[in-house]
Amino acid sequence: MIGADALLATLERKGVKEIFAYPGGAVLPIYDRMPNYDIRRILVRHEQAAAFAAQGYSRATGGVGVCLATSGPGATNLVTGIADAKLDNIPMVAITGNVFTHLIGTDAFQEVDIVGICEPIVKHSYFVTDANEIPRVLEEAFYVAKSGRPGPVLIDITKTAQSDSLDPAIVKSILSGEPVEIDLPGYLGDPEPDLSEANTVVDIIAEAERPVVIYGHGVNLSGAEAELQEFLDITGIPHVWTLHGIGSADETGELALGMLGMHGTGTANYAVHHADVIVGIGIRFDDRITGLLKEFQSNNKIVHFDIDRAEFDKNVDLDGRILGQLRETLPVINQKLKNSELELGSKIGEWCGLLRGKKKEWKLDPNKPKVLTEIAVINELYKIIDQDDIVTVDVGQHEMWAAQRFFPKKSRKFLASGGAGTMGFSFPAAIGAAFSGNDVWSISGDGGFQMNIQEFATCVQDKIPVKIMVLNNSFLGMVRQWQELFYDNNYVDTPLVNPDFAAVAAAYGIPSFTVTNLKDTTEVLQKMKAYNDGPIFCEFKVEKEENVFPMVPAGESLGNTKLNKDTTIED
Amino acid sequence: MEKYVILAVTENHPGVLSRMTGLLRRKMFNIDSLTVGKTTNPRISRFTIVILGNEKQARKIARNIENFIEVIEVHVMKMDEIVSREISLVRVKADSVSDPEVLFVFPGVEVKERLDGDEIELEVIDRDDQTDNFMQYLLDHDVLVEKWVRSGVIAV
Repeated sequence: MIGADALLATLERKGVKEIFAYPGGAVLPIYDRMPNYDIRRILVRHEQAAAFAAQGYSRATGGVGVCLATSGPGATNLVTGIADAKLDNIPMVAITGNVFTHLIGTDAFQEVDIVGICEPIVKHSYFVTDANEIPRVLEEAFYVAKSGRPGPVLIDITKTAQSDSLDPAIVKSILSGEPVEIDLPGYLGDPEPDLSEANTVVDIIAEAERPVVIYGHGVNLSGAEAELQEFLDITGIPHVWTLHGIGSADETGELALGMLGMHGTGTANYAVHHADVIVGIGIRFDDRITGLLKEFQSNNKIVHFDIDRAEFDKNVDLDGRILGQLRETLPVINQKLKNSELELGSKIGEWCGLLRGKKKEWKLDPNKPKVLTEIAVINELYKIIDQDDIVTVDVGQHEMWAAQRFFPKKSRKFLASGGAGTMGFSFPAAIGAAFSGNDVWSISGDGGFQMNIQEFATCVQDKIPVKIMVLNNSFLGMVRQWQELFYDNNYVDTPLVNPDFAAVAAAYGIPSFTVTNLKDTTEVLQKMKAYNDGPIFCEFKVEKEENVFPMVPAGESLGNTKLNKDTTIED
Repeated sequence: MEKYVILAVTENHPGVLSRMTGLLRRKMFNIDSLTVGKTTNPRISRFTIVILGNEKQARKIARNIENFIEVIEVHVMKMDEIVSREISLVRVKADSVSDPEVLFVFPGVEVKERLDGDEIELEVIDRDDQTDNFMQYLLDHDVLVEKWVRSGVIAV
């Protein structure tokens, strides 16, 4: 048994059914042995897509996606996908080959220090030169990626380690299926819950007059959706969510106020701006949701539930902290709230009434669309999809329009590149998400789609059933919007000359449509929904210069949320 | 801004030092001093990192260090609340020392030897602020310092 076998046997034992990969010189020993193992290879056409597909798989299933690339440029092409996984806390194992051990450090052909390059963007990384270490390193990598605050783990393995034979004792242990011992004296995995401030937190929540809950990605990462819903039901507190919180609780009720932040709903931002207590659950108070920090944090108390102590008091000063997996800590708080003598909800009636009124007043899309806009396409899509369908989005205007309007009944149904905001994410992420067994719709703009358009070939060769939508407004829409609003309509390099996307899809052998008017939209979407023989594609030629509202100009307070060009929520 | 000492116990792996310094760089700290060495257990290393900042910044960075997989234990303390030492090896121009007494004012200074007539070698073992003071003291007394090599602070 050589290192490559040890790698593949361990992946198989970890339950990995598919890896998203691209071959090359420094991973040939692995490719040579792959046919002997029950692991499906998805042959991407650019390594960046392998990283996003692995992420898409993780995001959709809650498992750990795996991608693999060769040394040098193969490895560096993974970098954006790894950084994206780090910023969004996505568990992922990225494996790279490197040159022979004796060539390391000699500037050999296709040698790069990928461990060094990735140092700030991984949760952990390994450089493996000894074949015998491979089983342990993989075992640790999966554990580290998934436990605690999840993230990507990089394993760089020299060609020598892939090719060398393992010690007989280790081979025997692998073949017998014995558990592999891990050796991580400094790593706790899931931290011991710290509920020392639980009573303070309960008191702050009970005494609030204008409270709001912000929940985020931590909820689905911890599998705490039911516990969050119970918390919301017990307290009756109005709630808003982050981009990655979408679907983690019932988002259709009167007090479900919408996504908050730079393109949050007017009501969500109004509630957070005027709240006397903010309960952050599995969020990290990033700049896109807080707006101007000193106004976000004024005349209010903030309590925070999180798994990472380093998040406490990072961006905002807290009045209460609950550390641990939300699925463990929320039930404790729920029980305390239920047991307490406090009359929960007695003080918040007026506040809830006000917000119900605002929600009605600032309802999105009050008028029926007359022309083909991105919003119209997105709304039609949401009407026809099933509740288990997954939607992946790219970055920019369509992403925000899609996020504002999606109220899935489950989490892990809206996949977006939140922290990194990576264009080109949607399509390859959808390829990975398709392995969850659900139908997957990939939405991109005309800019982002061209960043990974080559994945048409992957879908065809591996028959991956992604329903691919391009909303083409012939602009880099979000950048154009900023140029319009903040740079005096100076549209430098945002108008795009595009190919005939449907013809490109057809050239790859993918059935394709082009929709140019509103009345054809539903019919084509229905055709895409019914199609189950691989990928299918549609380009929608939409209105060119729509703007996304509501909008908080960068760096300003949530109180300055513009409902349109001329009106803010405080007007 | 005050000096804070971060004491970290880590696994003795290649790359741990690089993770530490990379983190400090991207959080925009300039490292005042950093030392690392093996412990009685050769698999374990001990870092002493001195940074300039306030208590909140120091605690934040310590939490980030704690999150590294290979970091076993982290403590953060104010420099003046901790036992610390730094070693300096110093060579001064012999004929610039007009009064040999100036070399004996600071208790942490030991005059090691006269090298080939024109240089004197000193060894300073003291707190880093005292070392700074001694350096200034020599300059004030017109002693010509040829070389001054500092080890960085160690602390327990």
